[in-house]
Amino acid sequence: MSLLTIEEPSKITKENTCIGIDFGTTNSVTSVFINGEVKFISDENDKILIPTAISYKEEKKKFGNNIFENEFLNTIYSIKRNFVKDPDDKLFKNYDDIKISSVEVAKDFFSYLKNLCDSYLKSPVYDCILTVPAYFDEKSRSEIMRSAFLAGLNVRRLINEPTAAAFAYGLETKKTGTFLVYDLGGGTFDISVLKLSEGIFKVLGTSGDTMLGGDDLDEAFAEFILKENFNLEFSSINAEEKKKMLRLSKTYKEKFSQKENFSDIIKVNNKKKKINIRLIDFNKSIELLIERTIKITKNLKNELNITDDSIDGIILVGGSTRCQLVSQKLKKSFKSKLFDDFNPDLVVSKGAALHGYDILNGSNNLLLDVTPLSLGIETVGGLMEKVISRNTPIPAIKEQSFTTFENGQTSIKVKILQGERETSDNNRNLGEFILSGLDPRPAGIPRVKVRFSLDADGILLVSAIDESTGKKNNLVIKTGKDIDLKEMRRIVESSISNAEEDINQRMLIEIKVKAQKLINEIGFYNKDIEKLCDKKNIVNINKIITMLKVELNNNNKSRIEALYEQLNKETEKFAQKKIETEFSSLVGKDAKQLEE
Amino acid sequence: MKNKCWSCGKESNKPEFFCIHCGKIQEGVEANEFELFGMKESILISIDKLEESYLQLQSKFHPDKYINLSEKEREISTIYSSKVNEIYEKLKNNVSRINLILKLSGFDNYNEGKSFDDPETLNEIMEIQEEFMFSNNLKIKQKIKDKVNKMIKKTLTEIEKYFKNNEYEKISKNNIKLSYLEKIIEK
Repeated sequence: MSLLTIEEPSKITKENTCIGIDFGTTNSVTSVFINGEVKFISDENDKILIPTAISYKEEKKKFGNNIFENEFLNTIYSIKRNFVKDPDDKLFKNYDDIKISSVEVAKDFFSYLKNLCDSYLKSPVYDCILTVPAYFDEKSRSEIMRSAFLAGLNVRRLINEPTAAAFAYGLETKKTGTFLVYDLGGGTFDISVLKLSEGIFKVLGTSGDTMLGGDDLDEAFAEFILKENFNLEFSSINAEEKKKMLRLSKTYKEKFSQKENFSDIIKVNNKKKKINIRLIDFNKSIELLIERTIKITKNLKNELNITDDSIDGIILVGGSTRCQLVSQKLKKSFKSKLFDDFNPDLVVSKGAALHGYDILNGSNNLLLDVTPLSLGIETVGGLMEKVISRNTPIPAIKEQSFTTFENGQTSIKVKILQGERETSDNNRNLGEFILSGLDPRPAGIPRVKVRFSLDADGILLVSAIDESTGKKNNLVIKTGKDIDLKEMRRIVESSISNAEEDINQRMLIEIKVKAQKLINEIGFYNKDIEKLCDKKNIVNINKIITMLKVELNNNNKSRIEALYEQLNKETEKFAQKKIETEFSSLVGKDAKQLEE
Repeated sequence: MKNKCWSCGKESNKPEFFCIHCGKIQEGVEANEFELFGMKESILISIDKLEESYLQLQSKFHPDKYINLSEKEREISTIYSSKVNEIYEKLKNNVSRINLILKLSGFDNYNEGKSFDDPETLNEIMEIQEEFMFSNNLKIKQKIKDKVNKMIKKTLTEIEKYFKNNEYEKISKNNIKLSYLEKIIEK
C-alpha cells in the first residue's frame, strides 16, 4: 500500500464523530470517518502505526514511537496479552513506583490515543468503537472496555477484529459471498466465517487461539537461534536476555521481507558470536504454530459444515500474515483464493471507524456477530452445563431455572463458566454470584430463574428472579465488588455531557468510578458492617452514602471527592475489624439445576 | 387503558412493536414465531425466505440501530433482537421447528418421559451411527452422510403428511427419529 497522506480536517462537520480503535498486541491504529473518507490518525512523529508500548521511566510516561529502541528493557510491551490472563494483577510499576495493573497501564495508553485524536480533530472526542480479538472471552472483553472507559472514552460498541476487517473489506470491494477471515496478529489468532451481501455482514462462526500470534513466532525463532548458535535453552536465560532475544528475533522476522539471508553479531550471556539468519530456519521454527492455525481453521469449517467450494476467498488480516509461510500453508490446505490486497495492519481500525460512523449517524448496513465461546454454569459434580452455546448469534438472552438443595435454604450460589470443556476446572471461571433473600422453604420448592443476557458487545449480564414469589427486588445478585460495565457506561456518558473541559471529564469519571466502587463494596459487606461496627458508625456511613449518591447524580466533582474521603475514613474502622475478625464465608449452598 | 405508549402516553387498539403515534419502540409485545417471520405454520419452510425475514427483522430491532436513543430503548431493542435470533435458530433447525409446531398445536409435553418405542428403526439408526463413527474412510463417510440425508428427507415428507391429517402423535414420534438422524451427521 502506498503511503497514506494525512490531511488536517478542513472543517468539522455536524455529523457525530466516532473513532475506531484497533488496540493491538504489537501496534495500535486509530482512525475516523470524516468528510466522506477514513482518515488514519498519526502520532507526533507522523506515524500511523503506533507500537502498543508504554514506558514509565524517568518520572514521566512515554508511549509508542516516542520510546527509543535502546529503552526497550524498561518498556512494557504486549500489554494486551495480560488481558487473556488476569488483567487485575498488579504486575507493573509506574513512575511514582506505585504498583499498577494491566487495566491501568492500558488506560494510560488509551488516554494517549485519545489525546492524539483530540488534537487531530481539534476538539475532544469521546465516542469510539473498540475492536477485540473474536476469540476473547468475557473477562478479557470487559476489562479492555473498562480500561477505555477509564480513559474517558465512551465505547459505543465492542466489535470483533475479523468482523471489523470484513466490514471494511466488503464495503470497499463490494464483494459478496462466503469468506474466511484469517487474522494472525501480534498476540492472537482469530478465524471467522462471514457471509457478505449488500450491506449485510453476517458472521456464521468464529474460532481461534488467544495465545498464538507474532509474539509466539518471535519466541519460536529465538529458541532456534539460541539452540543452534549457543546451545542454550530459551528457558535457561534470564529475563533481560530473554527480552533482548525476543526484540532481535522480531527485527529479523521483519527483515525477511527484504532479504532471505543475512548475518548479525549478537551477545548472549557475555558470549559474542556472528550468526547466520536464514528465512528457511525461521519457517522451520514457526511451522508447528502455523499448522495449528490451519487445524483450527479446518475444524471450524467442519463444525459449520462448509466445503471448500462454497468459500469465495480468504481475507488476510494482521501483521503476522506477512510471513511467507502463512500464505504458503493456506494455499496448500484450502482451494480458496487469498485476498491480501488490503494493508493487514490498518483494515481492522478502518472497519471500526466505518461502523462507528454508521451506527452513530444511521445507515442501512447491518453487522451481525456471534459469541465465540459457550457460556454456562457449574452443576453438581463440577460439570459445565451450557446455557448459551458457542457461535450463537448475539444479542442473546437465555434463561435457566434453579432450586434449592436443602430445607430452609435462603441463598443459592451460581458459578458462571465460559469455554468448551466438559469439566468446570478446565473452563474460565467468570465469577460466582449469590442469590440471597429467598423465603425459607423445603428443598426443591423455590424456583429461581437466572437470565443470561449477552448484549451486542458480547458482554454478559446476569439477573435473577424468584419465580415462587415473583419478586425481583428481594434477590441480591453479587458477582463481585466491582462496578459493572453498565454502571461504568452511565458514569462516562453523564460525565461527558457535564464536564466543561476534557481534562475535568476524565477526573470526574475517575472519582465517580472510585466512589461508586466504594459504595458497592460497602453494600457487599453490609452484613459484616452491621455486625462489626457501632451504631454511630453505621449511621454516619449511611448518611455519607446518601449524600454521595446525590452528588454523583449532580456530577459535582469537588463534593464527590470530599464525601469519598469522608466515607473512606468512616469505613476505615470496619476494614481494620474485618481483617482482625475471621469472618465466615458469605457463600450460599450450591445450586441444583432443575430438569427442563 | 391497554397498549399505552410508555413515551407519548397515547393508546393503540392492539399491541404494536412501534407506537402508532410517536414511533417509539414498545415493550413486551408477544408474537407468533411463524407470523413474526412472515411465514405460514408448516413443516417444510423456505430457508431463503427465513433468511430474508431474519435480516429484515434485525434491520428493525438490532441494538446498533438504537445506539443514540435512550437506555430504555436500547434495552428493549436488545430483548427483541435476542428473541429474533432465538426464533431464527429455532425455525432453521428441523427438529426444533417441528417441536414448535407441536407446541403451538397444544402438543407441547407429549414426549416427556416417553422413550422411542420402535426397536426396529432404533436398531437401524444405531447401526448407521456406529458405521459412521468407526469409519476413517472419507468416501465411505460421505456415502453414509448421503444415505442419512435421504432418510431425513423421507422422514420430513412423512411428517408433512401427518401434519396435513393433524396426526400429532405420529409427528411427535417421527420427530424423535429425525433428531437421532440429524445427530449422526451433526459433526
